[in-house]
Amino acid sequence: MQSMKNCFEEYGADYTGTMERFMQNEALYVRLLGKLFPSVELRQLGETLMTGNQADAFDAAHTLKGVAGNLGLTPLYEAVCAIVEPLRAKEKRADYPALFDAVQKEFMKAEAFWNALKGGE
Amino acid sequence: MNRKKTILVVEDQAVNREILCQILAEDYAVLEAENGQAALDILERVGEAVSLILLDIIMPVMDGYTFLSVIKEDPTFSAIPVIVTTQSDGDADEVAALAHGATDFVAKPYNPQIILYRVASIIKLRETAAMINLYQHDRLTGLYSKEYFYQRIKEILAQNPNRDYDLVCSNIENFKLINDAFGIPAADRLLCGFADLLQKRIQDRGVCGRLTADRFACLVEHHREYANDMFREDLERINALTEIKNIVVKWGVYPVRENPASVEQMCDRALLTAESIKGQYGTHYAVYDDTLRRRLQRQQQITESMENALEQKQFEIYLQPKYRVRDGALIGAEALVRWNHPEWGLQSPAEFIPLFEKNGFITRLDQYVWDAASALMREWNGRGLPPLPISVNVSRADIFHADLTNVLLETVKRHGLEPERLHLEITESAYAEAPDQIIETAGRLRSLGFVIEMDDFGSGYSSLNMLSRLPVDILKLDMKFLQSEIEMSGDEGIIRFIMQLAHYMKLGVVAEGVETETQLLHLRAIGCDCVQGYYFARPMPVREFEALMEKALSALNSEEKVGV
Repeated sequence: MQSMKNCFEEYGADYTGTMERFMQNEALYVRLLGKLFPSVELRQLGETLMTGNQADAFDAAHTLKGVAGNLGLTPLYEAVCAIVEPLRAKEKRADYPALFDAVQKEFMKAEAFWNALKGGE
Repeated sequence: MNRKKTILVVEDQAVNREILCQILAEDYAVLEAENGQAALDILERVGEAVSLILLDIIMPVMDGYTFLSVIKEDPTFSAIPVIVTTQSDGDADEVAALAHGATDFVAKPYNPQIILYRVASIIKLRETAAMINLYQHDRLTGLYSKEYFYQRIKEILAQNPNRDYDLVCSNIENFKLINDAFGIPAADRLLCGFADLLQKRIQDRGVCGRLTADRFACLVEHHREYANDMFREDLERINALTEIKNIVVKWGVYPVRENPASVEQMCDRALLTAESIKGQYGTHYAVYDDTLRRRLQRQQQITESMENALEQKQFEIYLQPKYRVRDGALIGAEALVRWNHPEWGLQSPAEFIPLFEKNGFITRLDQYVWDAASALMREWNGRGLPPLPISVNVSRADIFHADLTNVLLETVKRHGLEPERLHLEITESAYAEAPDQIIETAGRLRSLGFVIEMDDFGSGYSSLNMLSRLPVDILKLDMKFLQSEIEMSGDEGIIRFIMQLAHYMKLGVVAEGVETETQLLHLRAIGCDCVQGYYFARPMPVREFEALMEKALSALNSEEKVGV
């Protein structure tokens, strides 16, 4: 139990708030977190940004934001938020690839967090 | 054990869906759908069993907005509350969801406590609303229920003290007969169509309610005087609603003006107004007015006085003689009741008998008359007067009295009489209403020795078939029915046929209401046995009748002496 909490802290997530959402069911959390990888939405976000389809890019980012939020993945959530808002506002920006890179990096960290949790089980 | 209520979670993301299921699982049964179309499929399958829907907006195949639009259009599902799950990133999604008919929203990331409280309170709210709806509306027609209609009237009148309203009540004549003849589904269709017609007529200018099975009421703002044609048009529409034809509806209008009566009283008065034109062909409506008010007040007075009147013996027996046609001999009498009120004087039975028949008091009055007639016959026996029989009335209500046979038997026994002295008159229409009950009761009474007379024969709808089954000794022909027959003076008239039939069936015949010599001559010509009517004598006080008996007796004695 302690190690899971430590993992959360190391990753930068809120253990208590997240576990409340999962009704204190750590195993369920780990299982559902695993469903994030590989992420269809992440792939879709990358592809739609490349083709300039901002509407679909928004849908993918929006979905990703909801899932990341529910899983308590605060660093990933914040990275996704940074790209969701300009997409929602239909802003034409040059830094979308950079914002997407940041999301991808956070994804990898989240996956590492998941692996750590699995190892700690 | 209470069954768990069911919640449908519609969410394409397995992670979010499973979290919601986990949050809800302890208190609810949870169904899952991964998009709007899958959710619709589930609803088609389980229908109204779903107490609440938790709905995501952005989903493949069918998104949340489309799903909301579809179910809000479908009356089966439109009442199911929907909570939309949104991201906490601005109001736009929430506003759009509410605009599409969502009940409420919860934000991601989920807060289990907020979700559980919100879900519970919305389900409760919906159930309460459903119950209120059930209480407010009549299930069949969708009109207001009686109780809620009364409440609405009170509110409307209180909120609009300076406006004039009319309370219009309607009553379908012989609705029970319609139910019997055409079946309940057809009668229900008629009621629903009638209710729709009322709604369309009233629109937003008033309120409508269903008071009892076939009685509707509307409160409408008074904007014009009523005309028979308005109601006739409605009646034509009502008759076109179903296969049921010749429907007769009577409308009663109670004008609601300053200081109105209680709502219940107003509805009663409007219904009584409608009832006051019952049987009047072509008159479709009546307005409550002073004449009707006085009549109703009078009925109220009569109802309040009847018990006392019986105790104080204000009801008096009058006797109308019956004569044998062949030789003019006095052969009996019919007992008729008169109410001699100490303040109002002699009251017409035409006024109080129908009222007593309606309120059930007729049974007690009939028993009083049976007893008084029996006491009189015992007195005649003691005084050596001829042992003439007296006919008494047995009302419809008496027939359904389980103890009728015993009451009658004890009455004659108490006065030391044989049952055959008491002739029991049962009206023809009662035979038609409840043939089996009457055949059984009359058969029992007849086997005990009572003489059964079918009163008002010819005024109702007895079939020859029924006549052959009835345990009857005497037919009393109603002269109202015979009137046109006698005026025609035909030899082959139906009355001759009835007379022959009666003789063939070994039934005696008494023609009542004989008023002219022509009538008597005709009756004699066709072989009528006995007569009764104003031509011979009106109903008279007992002492006058006894004088007739004594006269007949002394005439008989002198004939015997002459003969000797």
